[in-house]
Amino acid sequence: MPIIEVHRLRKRYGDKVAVDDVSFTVERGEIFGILGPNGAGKTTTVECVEGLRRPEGGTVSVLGLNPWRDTAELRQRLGAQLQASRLPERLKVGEALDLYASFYRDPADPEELLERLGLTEKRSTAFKNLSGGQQQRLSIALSLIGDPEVAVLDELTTGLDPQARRDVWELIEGIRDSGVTILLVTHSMEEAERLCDRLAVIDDGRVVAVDTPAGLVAGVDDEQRIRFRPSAPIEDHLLADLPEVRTVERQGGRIVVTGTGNVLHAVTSVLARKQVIAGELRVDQANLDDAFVALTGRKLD
Amino acid sequence: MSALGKMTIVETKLFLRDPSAPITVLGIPLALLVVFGLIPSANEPSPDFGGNSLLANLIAPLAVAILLGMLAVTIFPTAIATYREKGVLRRLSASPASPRLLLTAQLLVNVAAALVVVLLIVGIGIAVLGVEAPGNPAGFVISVVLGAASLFCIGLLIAALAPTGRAAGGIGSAVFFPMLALGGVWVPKEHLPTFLQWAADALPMGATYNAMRSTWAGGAPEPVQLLSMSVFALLCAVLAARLFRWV
Repeated sequence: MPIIEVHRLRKRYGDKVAVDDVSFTVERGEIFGILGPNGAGKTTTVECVEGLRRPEGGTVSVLGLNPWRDTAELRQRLGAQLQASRLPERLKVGEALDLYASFYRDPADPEELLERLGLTEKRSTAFKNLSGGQQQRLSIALSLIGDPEVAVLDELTTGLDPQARRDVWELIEGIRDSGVTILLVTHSMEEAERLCDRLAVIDDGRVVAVDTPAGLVAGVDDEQRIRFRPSAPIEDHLLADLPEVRTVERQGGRIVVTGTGNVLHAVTSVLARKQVIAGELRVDQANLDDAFVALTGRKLD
Repeated sequence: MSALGKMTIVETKLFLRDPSAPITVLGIPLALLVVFGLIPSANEPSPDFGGNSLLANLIAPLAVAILLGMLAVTIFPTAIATYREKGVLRRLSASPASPRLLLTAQLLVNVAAALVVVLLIVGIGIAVLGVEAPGNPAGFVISVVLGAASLFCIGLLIAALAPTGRAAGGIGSAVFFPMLALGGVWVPKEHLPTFLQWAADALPMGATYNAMRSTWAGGAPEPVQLLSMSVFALLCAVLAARLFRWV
């Protein structure tokens, strides 16, 4: 049974439709991503899942609970890391975890969480004196202090430097490995590709695709472009005649081959047979960015 | 420890780490007391004040009322609304903490802090300026505690709704000054127009002030004053818990 089921969700703010028609399900133990540009309705969608907002239409079920009817029970079992939320400036890291632990029936051990998030040294540091990455890690720690079954993480690496981002990603994988289901909101392709088992691409309040990152990429266009400098002359038709090859072009001393499927293997086999070495070989493949363009007609950022 | 206990302790620590607000406010009532205390006749019993001195009958209760009012109706809600503005409440809203928990802890810490400051003012007045001690100490304590509760609950209601710290400060001032005027603080209630005299005892600021005046003079608080303070405290607390917005 899915842990989260969202069916035909709809939410307006005044005249503006924030979420038009969003459906997806999240299975136990996976990292499910919600990917889309700013203003696509990602945050509104997860706020409905968290029970922070009440939608106009559609149904949401989380752990078999109705988020805006069984709110108290949901709060005990779902941890949330919110965008644009802060702690009191002078609150210390250890105090924050202790305080939040007191809200839960069966909290995680604050010391252990501090250790896991690399914040043990910062226990007595005030919130305002933490770096952006440390504040973000504290925010993740607070979302886990209730020992939740589901954690919703909204734009958790926005504004972090590359090293801090990679650290946070590793952390998230660790959390998933400890059995927590994760719903991850992001507008970063790199983040989605790296972390998510499956993801829903949202654009303009609608889901345009739900698949694994690899599935999304494959579904769009698997054309590959192979460029190389042959060590000896080779006739174009030897390559062009291959069924996987679509075009063969020459750019100065280089050959550019485009094709689909197992084109790379087909081309290198021919070259090997002719004892031609492919120098400066480069292969470009479609990635999630291309998939997003193909799905929505525009670039993500 | 219970969530309320934890939260109260944490809020107390936060309060003590940045006590600038109550200390700034302390200046105004202290200045009032000292300036009037330096007038030679201010501390003489006078038939104008029913045998009490100007200081004990008007100025000291005035200093305490202004102090309570400013802390409760402007500074206290500004602090909570700033939590809202900065997303502190938003974070809390995603946890199992309830508005009631937050509001109760805030109320406990701030009322306690206000009572300490009142004690300080009254203590300085008596020890340094030689103001007579309240003639009815028990009645005076009841008036101060109940008055503080009613004023802080008004602050709580403002805090429950104001979207930003500035908005809370603005609403607070808009409530504070009329209550001051109608409460007989600027003009003693016996000099207010007859049709406004009821307001002096029915609105919590005036009720607090006038109850302190009578108990300082050795009398008892009037029932209407006690009723006003209790009703405002209860009503505003219930409304605040009901109408509270996290964001």
